[in-house]
Amino acid sequence: MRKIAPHSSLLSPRQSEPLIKLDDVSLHFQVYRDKSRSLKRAVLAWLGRSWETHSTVEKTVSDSHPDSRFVDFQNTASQFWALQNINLTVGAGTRLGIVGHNGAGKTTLLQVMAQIYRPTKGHLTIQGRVTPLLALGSAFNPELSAKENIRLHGALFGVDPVTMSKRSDAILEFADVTEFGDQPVKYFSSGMTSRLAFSIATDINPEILLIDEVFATGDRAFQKKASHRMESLMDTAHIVVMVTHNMSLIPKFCNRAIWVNQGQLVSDGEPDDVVEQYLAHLSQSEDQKKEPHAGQTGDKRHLHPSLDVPRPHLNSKHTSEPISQEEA
Amino acid sequence: MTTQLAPLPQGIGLFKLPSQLLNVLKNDVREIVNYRFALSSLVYFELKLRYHRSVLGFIWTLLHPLLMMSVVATFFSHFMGRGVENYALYLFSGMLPWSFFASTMTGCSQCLIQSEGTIRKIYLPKLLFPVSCTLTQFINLILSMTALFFLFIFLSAEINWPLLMLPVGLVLLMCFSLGMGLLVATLNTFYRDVAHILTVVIQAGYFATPILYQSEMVPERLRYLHKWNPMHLILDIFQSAIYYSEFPSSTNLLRATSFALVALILGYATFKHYEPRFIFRL
Repeated sequence: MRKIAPHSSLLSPRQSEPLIKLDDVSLHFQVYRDKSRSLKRAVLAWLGRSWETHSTVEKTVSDSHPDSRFVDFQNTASQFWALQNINLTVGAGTRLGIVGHNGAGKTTLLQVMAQIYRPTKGHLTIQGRVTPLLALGSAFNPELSAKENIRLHGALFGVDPVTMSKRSDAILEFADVTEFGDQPVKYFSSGMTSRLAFSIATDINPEILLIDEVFATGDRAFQKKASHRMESLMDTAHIVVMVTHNMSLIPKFCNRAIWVNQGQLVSDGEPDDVVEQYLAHLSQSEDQKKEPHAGQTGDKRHLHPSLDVPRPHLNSKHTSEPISQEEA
Repeated sequence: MTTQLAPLPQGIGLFKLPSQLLNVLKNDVREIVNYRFALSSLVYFELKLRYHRSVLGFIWTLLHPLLMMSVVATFFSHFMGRGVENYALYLFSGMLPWSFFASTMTGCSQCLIQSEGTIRKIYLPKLLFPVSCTLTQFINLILSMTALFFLFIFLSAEINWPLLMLPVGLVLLMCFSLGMGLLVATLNTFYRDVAHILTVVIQAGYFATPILYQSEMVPERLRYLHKWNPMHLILDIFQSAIYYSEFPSSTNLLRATSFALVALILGYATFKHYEPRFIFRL
């Protein structure tokens, strides 16, 4: 019989060395087209199913008419394996960089480590307090003031409101929004919001730090300040796992790298080697893509927006690139 | 401190769950204690936002039910309330607990969906959301009940021993509402239609439960139905204590307790069973 493993006790004191261990972890993903599953569809699916089992005649009819109302309603959701058989042990002192295509499963892997998705198969072991830096701004309540959001955000990470209030001045100052501390966040500009989000999220003492592309926020002056803080955070954290498309960051910050492709671990090793392999694979697949359409000179950036070419939003002013390119 | 995450439960029936329920519950209690600051902040800010930027602020907790009751008393005292002595007091004893139940249900049905942004980004025990929603409503209930209570003492009601049953009623009410709230939260995450059905069901329940009228006004042949209406059994504790100055009958009390417990266990088991899959349905 399956044992319900003890759930996280993220906030209790650490007894052993920080560790992330994935044993044969797979994650099956379901994405629903309209985000919701309506009762009507469920009933139809159920009817359709009983129809199929009870009447073979109907079944053959439905098979020959793929768009009849007997289509398999189970398939209205697209299902796929976002992660497949990932084995990974990350011990204390590791700075792990994750590389891979957009949609390869990098962020999903990070989210599994952050316990947002529970593995469909396999085991995940986490020792230590996990701080995901995936959360820039999304947890803000727009109606609450900046100071209140600081307290709320701290509380969600287990910091008591009194301690958080004491730290709020420093956080506001770092974000350059000191004079707006009592304003509701909904009146903030997007730059102010992201700066505030960054300084809240990084005002921590991380054990295990999960970073998903948060190096670039705000204007140039802030970026400089921010990258300093990121560096000091990465120094203090016991484990850092980062996802980035900026290949120059990986050898700079990491002492180990993995390459994830289509939900599978392709290689694992020294940052330089892994990045090299990945880049080689990329140029190879680009060549393959070019050959069939020899006449078309497609924009390389469009295929692999983040390679060699600096990421658009790192060049501060260009932020109008489609989001899909930036998401892993 | 080690977190071991077992794989997603696949094909584990709800009926297998009860054997593990105690362990699961122990973990959850520990988790809620660990996340107590998150819980208290969620409740605090929810309460704060409710009366945010209104001139009267918290006075609305008193004013809103009072106005609602005045409206009902004005329009219905001629039909339903005919022959009911001190109709306003009767309304008060039933309407406040009912509106707690109703708003907990609607709140719980939306709580996970509304917190999608947070749930997607950081790990939090999902139980936090329905529990904080129920607690918020409960604090509201306590505040408005106390305020109105003093008003009614001033007007008419007597203070006597049956009032000691109120805490029992409150606990049962909270258990039942939380249980049903967990159930509704789960259902609505999977089928958004549930929220729409819910408003109708709550409205129907409002009329089917003796709140505006007394249970004696229901024809004799239909009155047996009251025995199976959990909300009537729970409201009866309030109505007996506040309006009739009587202790509720022990059979009613026993039935109310069992309904509350069944609701709580059913809701909790359902919620825990589907919890790992919520993230895919948000």
